[in-house]
Amino acid sequence: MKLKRLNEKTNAFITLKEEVEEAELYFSIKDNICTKDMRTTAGSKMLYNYHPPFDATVVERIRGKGEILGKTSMDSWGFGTFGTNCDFGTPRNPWDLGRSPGGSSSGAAIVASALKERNVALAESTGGSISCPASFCNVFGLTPTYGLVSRWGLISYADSLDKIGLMARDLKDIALVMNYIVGGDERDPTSYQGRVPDYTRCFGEIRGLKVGVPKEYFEHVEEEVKEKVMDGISLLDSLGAEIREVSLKLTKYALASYYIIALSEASTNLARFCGLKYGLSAEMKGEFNEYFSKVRGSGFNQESKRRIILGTFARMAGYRGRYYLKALKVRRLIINEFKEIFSRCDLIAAPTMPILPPKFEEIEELEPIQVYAMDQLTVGPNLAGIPMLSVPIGFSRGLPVGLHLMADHFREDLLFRVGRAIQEHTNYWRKVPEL
Amino acid sequence: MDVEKVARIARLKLSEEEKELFSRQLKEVLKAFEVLDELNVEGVEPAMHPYEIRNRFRKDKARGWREIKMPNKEGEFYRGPRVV
Repeated sequence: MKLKRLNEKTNAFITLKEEVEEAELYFSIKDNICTKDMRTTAGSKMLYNYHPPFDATVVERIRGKGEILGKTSMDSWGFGTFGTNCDFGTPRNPWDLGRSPGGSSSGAAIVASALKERNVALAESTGGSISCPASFCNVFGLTPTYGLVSRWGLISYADSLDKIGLMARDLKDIALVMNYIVGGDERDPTSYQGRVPDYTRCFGEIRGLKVGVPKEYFEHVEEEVKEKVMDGISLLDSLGAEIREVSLKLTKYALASYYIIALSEASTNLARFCGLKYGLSAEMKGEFNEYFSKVRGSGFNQESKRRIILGTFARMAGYRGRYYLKALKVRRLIINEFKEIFSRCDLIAAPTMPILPPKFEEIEELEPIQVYAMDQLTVGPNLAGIPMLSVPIGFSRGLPVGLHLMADHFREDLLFRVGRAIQEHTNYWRKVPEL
Repeated sequence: MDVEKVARIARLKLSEEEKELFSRQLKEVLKAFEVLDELNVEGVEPAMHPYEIRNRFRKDKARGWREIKMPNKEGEFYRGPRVV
């Protein structure tokens, strides 16, 4: 295994374990998930020296099930769609090193895709951070229902949205590791305590399943992406699924609602990084607020500062009703709209991302609002907290395309069933990039 | 948006260039957020979570103190800037 070489080419890891023992299954862990024996930075200079004295629950649960390789690169705090906001080197797409691997779980997708050995990546999504890089790197990416997997030990971005999930080349490995990590956790009061199925047994006939295809999810989508996604939907049709057009009229409001809620929560979560209890510190001069402002001004990168300012503003007296509360009400309408579709359909199928992986020069030209708009297809299901799976569905100009499957809360079983059916009838997922 | 004021509340020291850049960029973002004004949300209950979640409590029991090394740590205390 040539991990060092992989890392030199792609910046997949922020911290790579020095000695890796041979194993049947390997794990990579996104760097916002705390690990007792490895530095945890959340992709930010602010935590460049943070060594957690504990393991996150998910890490505790995979210990002994395989060998941990290291901590994967990410946009700092999860703030990004393209991986370009990582403070420890920009991660690169293994299918074309001049292009983005997607974010924010960039390194997770790179390792899952480019490492030949069997491996599963522990990743995390707030608004699309698993689906996007999974789609850009040609791997399966599962974002479970909100609350299904404990988040204790995750460095929070937005508590009402954060979900820990998994990525791998083989969906069967995701099913196996899901069995390890699900289950209630008294340290995370939002964690689900109910019964869950054995995910490795969720496969079989898809005949008769009703698949809704929302027309709004094909607007503003590149033709090449549309084509591949339609091929995938035709495959489901040929396997006996009932395809029907549906409408998610509130799609155009999801982006604003998502960013207002996510950044409001993020601005409070990041208040704890002030140079006292962990991470970056500075010379103690001036009064407390001066000290905090100085450390935070130098430890947060530009995108982080932008998001903290936006989130602070949306919660301020005088603006709270117009932004934060309004966004929460719109979120309710969006959830209801998804629920209504799931009263008629088993699944929703759409493109994961509206574009193919972009070149870094193209990303540099984009204004922040244009970057945020790239999340248009993933923020809706993330606001609703429904489970979603990005499935490799083909290549266009040598670049991967993802099909996004969404199901009602706690219906991961359906995602596995349909994902496994696609896996049996296609070979895209088997491809490994030449590096 | 008065970026300087918001940055002060958020305890973020910004450079002059950042203040200018963020003012321009965030104006665009807020303009895009205006799309929400099209929706009537009167009587809609805000959704704090994706589905109903009830508070669940556990015993407030310490699990042992685990050390994090910091340069300003003295024993069990953190040293801050001088106040008086």
